[in-house]
Amino acid sequence: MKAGDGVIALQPLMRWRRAHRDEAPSLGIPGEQGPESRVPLSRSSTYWIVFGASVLWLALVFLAPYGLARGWPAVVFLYALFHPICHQIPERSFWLFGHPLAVCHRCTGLYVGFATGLLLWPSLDVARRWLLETPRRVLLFFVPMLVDVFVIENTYLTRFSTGLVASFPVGLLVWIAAEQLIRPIPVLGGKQTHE
Amino acid sequence: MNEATPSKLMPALIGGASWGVASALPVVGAVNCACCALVIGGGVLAAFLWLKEVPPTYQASYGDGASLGVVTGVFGAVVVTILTALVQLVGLGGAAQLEQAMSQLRETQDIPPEVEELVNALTSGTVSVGLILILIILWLVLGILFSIVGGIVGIAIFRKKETPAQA
Repeated sequence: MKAGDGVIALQPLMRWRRAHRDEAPSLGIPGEQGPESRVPLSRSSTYWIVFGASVLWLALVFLAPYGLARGWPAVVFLYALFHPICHQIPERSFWLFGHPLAVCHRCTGLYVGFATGLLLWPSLDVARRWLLETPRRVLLFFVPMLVDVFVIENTYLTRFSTGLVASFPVGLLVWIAAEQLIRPIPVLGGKQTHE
Repeated sequence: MNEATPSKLMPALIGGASWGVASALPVVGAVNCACCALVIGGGVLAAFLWLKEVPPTYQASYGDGASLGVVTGVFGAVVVTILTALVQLVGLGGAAQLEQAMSQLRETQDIPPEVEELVNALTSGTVSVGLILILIILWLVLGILFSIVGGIVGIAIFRKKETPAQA
């Protein structure tokens, strides 16, 4: 590798950025006909509802061990709520207040990743446009988790981190979906309608 | 000119029934332990089936995926609850889930006696109707939430990119 190789490698990205530099900020790519290009960027009330719901869901995960430590009888329902969707094996879960969380390492990472993604995506202009330009790229975020599950001998750190990465883009898509459900999208050239 | 979009009902019914039946099966249902993979898969399936019927000039949105997921989740929750109730009648199912959750907790710590009493009351035959009611609500919540995610992800994966010629 020569000193200038890094600059050469970045040139396609730099050309792409120059091409989109003067475009108005949006969740999509102005000029594309996809409906995401007409969804507002700002953290609207819809955004805060979605973000609040994700934080609340995550809070339930952490509330379970706290409630168990305090001897709350109803805490069993919290564990039961997550039981259909997580194996809840204590050796594969984080512990808090002397008790395991309501979900395992990986599920904790998934929920943390979802909330973290919602928090960060509005600020990640380049990455956001890269993802929304070809939404199938969301599958790339699932690859580390699949490798972690089926290929390598995983640890608590790999389970948590790959779960976080896997759900990182999903928060953005859910936010956009919520915006599209609440705000009518203008018809562009008669291409689509809303029921 | 606006183009009518195909109905979401049948794809949602198929997707919901798929994850509902799979989730109620004793061994297959364990796949849901991977963060509700079956439920998410049902939402993805519904999105795939719906997108097959969508005209090429229509750009499906993630909002379409979310609304599809809601209907898929409701259908699936109804299916899994009915099947779970049937399984409960033969002595397996809902109470066993609660017992499994409790047994894992018992392995690692002492359970407060009040909690034990509550679980025993719920898993006894005299309050199984109440337990089934709890399961209905539980599956509606989980089914709708994760089917929405599946529907949205399904749209992202299977939606055709609109070409400049269609603009």
